[in-house]
Formats: sequence, structure tokens, C-alpha cells
Amino acid sequence: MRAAGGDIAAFESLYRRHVASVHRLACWMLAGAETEDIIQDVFVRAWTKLKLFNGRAAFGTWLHKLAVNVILRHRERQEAKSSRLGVLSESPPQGARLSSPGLRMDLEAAIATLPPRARDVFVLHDIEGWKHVEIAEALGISPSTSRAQLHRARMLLRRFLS
Amino acid sequence: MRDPWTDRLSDYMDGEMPSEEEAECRAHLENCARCTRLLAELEAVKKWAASPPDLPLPGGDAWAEIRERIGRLHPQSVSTPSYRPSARLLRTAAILVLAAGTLLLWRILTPPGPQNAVPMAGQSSDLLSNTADQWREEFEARAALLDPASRQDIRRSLRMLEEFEGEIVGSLEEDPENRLLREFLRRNRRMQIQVLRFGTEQTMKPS
Repeated sequence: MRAAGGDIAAFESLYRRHVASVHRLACWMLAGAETEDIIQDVFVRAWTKLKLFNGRAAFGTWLHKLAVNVILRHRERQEAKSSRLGVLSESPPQGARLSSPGLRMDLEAAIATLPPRARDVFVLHDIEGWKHVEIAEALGISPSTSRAQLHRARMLLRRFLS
Repeated sequence: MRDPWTDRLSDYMDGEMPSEEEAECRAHLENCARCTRLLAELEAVKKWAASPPDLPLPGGDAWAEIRERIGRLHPQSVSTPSYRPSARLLRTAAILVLAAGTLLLWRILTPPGPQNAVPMAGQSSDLLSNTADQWREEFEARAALLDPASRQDIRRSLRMLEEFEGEIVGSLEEDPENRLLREFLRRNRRMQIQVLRFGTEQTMKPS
């Protein structure tokens, strides 16, 4: 891959191809909070780690795993900051910026209200198509916890489709 | 009393249940309207998530900022346009230098006669390739006369040069007009000839 050899133009092509999906992932996991800085962090991190990409998985898959790590670290920092300020970390983010009208709007907004862990698992499993084993590894939980959180998320979301 | 199957419906829906339990759950669903309705709702959520709506990108283009940050980390990566060889090419060059050093050492240890020079400046890499093939044939025909250690050294050097010849050819496929790469290819093939010629000459020396 030319980008791994330091070709910034090749890396820009990768950025253009994948920025929308990384943005979407960040939006879902961060419940519509500001994602611009996160997107920057993801791609700068990807640049520094490109030499570790061994081509066994698709580049998009590798990038999304890296993005999930960046997003989780970002949220941990935010939660630590909030807890220092005495804000409840489980409370849904304010000012979620969501797009589609009607029923979908309801469900998108509902995802933003999920508890963070349930939201992570729901986004990674049902939207991103990860397996429980992969989710467990990324989030540092067991596969059975991942399954339980997924069920919890779906149970909370189903009301918005009723 | 809470239905014990309620919390297992996602596992059932996703095929994450052991087959025996799955059969029990299926039997339960045939008789439980509440769980059947709940399962349908969970399926609707899953179906929605399989094709979620597009989310518009934020207004500004983040690339300029990303490029600037990368530039701060690795200034040479974003400097303008002059030709910058790839890591693979640099590795190739390093190996060629190493191989040239090895050959030089060899020459010092075993001074060549005047016939050993390889006066090939200006020859095309295709012509050099043909010449290399002829020397390879000559060397292989006589290689058994060499002591095993020398034979192994020569073959190892050739493998190394051939491996990086492949790297250069691969790079040329991406950038066929690159003069630096063409020069590398020419030098690589000339070096292969030198190694083969040297090896062949060693077979002619009295032991």
C-alpha cells in the first residue's frame, strides 16, 4: 500500500473513501456529539499505525477497529472530566445532532439515549456487523456481557418502533 | 412472574443459542403471544439497524487539519512534490549497497584479472537480463566444482538480488517512467552478472 510508504496523496484517497463511514460510526457511538476532532484523531492515528496494517483484513475493517479505540478513549476522557465536574456519565449527551425526519428520527434519537455500553454493543453488532467476540475484545467485556447488552439495547429501542 | 425466555430472545433471533435450547425456545414461542410479539419488535429494530440512514458529514473538510497534524508529526511526508522514494525502494537501494560492498570485499580478497571487469555502462536492462541468463547457465553448469560454502554464498547473494529485482519491477509497474527505478533495475542486473561471473571464475581456479 503506497500510503504505508509515506505517500500522503494515497492516504488522502483513503481518507476520502472512508471518512463518511468513520463519521457515521463516531456519530452513533458518541450519540451525535461533536465528531470533527474525533475524525481527525482517527485518521492521524491511522497514519502513524499504517505500517502495522498487514492486509489480512480489509482496510475499512482495520480502520473501524482503530476508530472504535479512539472513540472509546475519547469518551473515557470525557467521562473522567464529567465525573470530576460532578456530571452523571450515564446521562445522554445534550444537543444530539440527528438528521432524518419521522420515525427514523425517533430511533436515531433513541440510540443517543441508550446507556453507553448498550449503545456501543448495539452500534457495533447491529449497525457495523461485528461479532460478539470482536466486540468483547474491543470493549474489554465478555461475549456473554456483549450479548446481554445487545438485548438490553434492542429492548429499549423497540418502543420507538412500536 | 417474569418470563425466563424474554431475556433470551435476542440470542434466539441471532442464532446464538445452543440447538437444544433453541428448540425449547421455538416451542415456547408457539404458545406465548407476548414473546412472539416481543420477538417481532426486536426483529424490526435489527432490520432498521441493518440499513441505518446516512448521516451528513460536518460542513468543513477535516483533511486540511489532518494533513497539517501529520505534517507536524512527519514533516517530510507533506513537503511538496519533489520525488520521494518509497520505503521499499530505499530498502532495495540499501540492499544493493550492501551487495556491492560484499562483492567489493570478495574482489579484494580474490583480486580479479583484467577480464573480470563488466564494461556494461549504457546497456539496457533487457540486454543485461539476457547476459545474466547466459552467465547463470554457465555458472550452474560448473557450480558443482565449487566448495559448498562458496556455492551457498553465491546463491544466497543471487537470491537477494533477484528478490529485490522483483521489488523494483513491481515499483516500475506503478511508475513505469521513473528513471531512478530504471537505473536501479539496470544496476541490479549488472550486479547479478558480476556475481555469476565471479562464481564461474572461481570454478576455474585450481583448488
